[in-house]
Amino acid sequence: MDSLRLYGRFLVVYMKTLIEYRFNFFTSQIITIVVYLISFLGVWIVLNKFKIIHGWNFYEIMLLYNLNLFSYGASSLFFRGPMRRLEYMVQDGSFDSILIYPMNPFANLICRDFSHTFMAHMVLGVVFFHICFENLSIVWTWMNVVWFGLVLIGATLIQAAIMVLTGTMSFWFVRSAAVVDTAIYGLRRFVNYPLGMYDKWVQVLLTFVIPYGFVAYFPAEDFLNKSDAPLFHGITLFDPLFQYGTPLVGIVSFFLAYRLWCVGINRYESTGS
Amino acid sequence: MKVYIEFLKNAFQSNLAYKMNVFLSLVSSIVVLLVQIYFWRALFQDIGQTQTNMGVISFRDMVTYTLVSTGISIAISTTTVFKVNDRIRTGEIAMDLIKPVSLKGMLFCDALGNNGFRMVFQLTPFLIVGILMFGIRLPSEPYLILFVISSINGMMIYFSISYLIGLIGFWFLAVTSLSMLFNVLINVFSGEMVPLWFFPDFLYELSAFLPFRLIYFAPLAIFLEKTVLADAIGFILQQFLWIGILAGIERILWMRAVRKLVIQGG
Repeated sequence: MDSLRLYGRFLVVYMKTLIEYRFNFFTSQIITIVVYLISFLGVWIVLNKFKIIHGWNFYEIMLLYNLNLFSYGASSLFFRGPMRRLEYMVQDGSFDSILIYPMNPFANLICRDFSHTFMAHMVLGVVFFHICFENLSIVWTWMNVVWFGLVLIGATLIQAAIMVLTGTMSFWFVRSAAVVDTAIYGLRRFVNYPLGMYDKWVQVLLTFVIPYGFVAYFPAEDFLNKSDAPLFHGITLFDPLFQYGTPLVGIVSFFLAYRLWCVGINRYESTGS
Repeated sequence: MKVYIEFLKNAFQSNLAYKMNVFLSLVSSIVVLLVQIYFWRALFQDIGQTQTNMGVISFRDMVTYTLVSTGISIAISTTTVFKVNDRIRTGEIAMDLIKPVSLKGMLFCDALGNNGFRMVFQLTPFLIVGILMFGIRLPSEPYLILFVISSINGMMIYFSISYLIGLIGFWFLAVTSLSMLFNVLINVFSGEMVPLWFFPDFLYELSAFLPFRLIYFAPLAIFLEKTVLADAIGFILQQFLWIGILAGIERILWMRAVRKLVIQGG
């Protein structure tokens, strides 16, 4: 609870520094929105040419893309900056200072950084969701709305878990975290398309090892009433229940990532430089 | 000259300290290659091949395209933007100004050293694995020579744009967002991921005004022999033109930046 109050205080201070640099604040938000519009243009180009990817049309792909974008933005607000910074802190030994505060080091690290540029992701995400829902026939019962909220939270937790995981790598491999990061973000791009179109091992990788499949593909299948769950030697590899797995997978993976962080921090020996 | 070669050697050798990185980067580029190939396979599964304004494109073409494109990206990507920007933010740039070497030359050699390292330890094994798995169709000799020239030019353009964006850091603090913009423009408009022959006409024409397609698409279209020789030479001339334009902009920005820096320091 104390941590939350501290985080609130920190946010206020952080917002004040942003107001100092208003020009940079707004331009960087606008640039971020432009960046994602262009990147979505890339998806549009492919669909404009091929019309349908693995049985999914433009707006269905847009829903996939946006579930990924929105949850990534939401978790990046809190975790991306600190986890990227951790690598440098371990390298130059300034991580030591975090350990001597009377505060959970994890909470402390998160409190040090708020990646405001990702607010743009959220704004764009809301607009994209709106466009999707206008063009897709999803029945919005109360149950569905609540479920959608839970899916977003679960997806955000999965993205957060992966960020924490890559950050934690810094405790083991100095200067490798950035590489692990690129490797995993390289994979993230492929979550924008239906999982069913990839080879079996990619599907297994994105479901059981790095559970990106639960960020967009499985919940989207549920909302769109699709069941192109891939077959594996005639047996469905993925249980239909996976479509409801996002919140649970989110909680479990975040917990596991946090446990790994705890292991990593115990292993940490200052570089002493 | 000797100094610059030292910078190059230094950048090359400093990579040797991080062997784990090399391995992880290699694995990651192979994974990205595979998943991209699955992507095109899914798209071509039912149609086999497709008619575009640059001739018939088949799945085999896309396999070679993806392989060579990923190869180019290993060979040319740099962190020059951040290197320039860090120097500006920390003030180290003041020290660079009094050194008897040019900052641009120094960073270029640094990039060459890093990229050279990646070509030996990442690109070579990547190509071996890729070609063993999927095979590759080599172009005829004149195209192959033009491909090499246009790839080197593409790298020059990539470096020049990175350096320019780094210099913008003199005026604008949020270089990270700018570099994101630069990356996504390259990603989409260079044809790194989606070849320009799949673009709708208006975007294809728009991209002709931008330098980005000269980084990836020009060498790739030449490699796949999707252009006639005259057009291939046209691409290379455009590359030289853009290298000139970018060098001009860079000179102007640099002069202004240095003047601004002096005012701040005074």
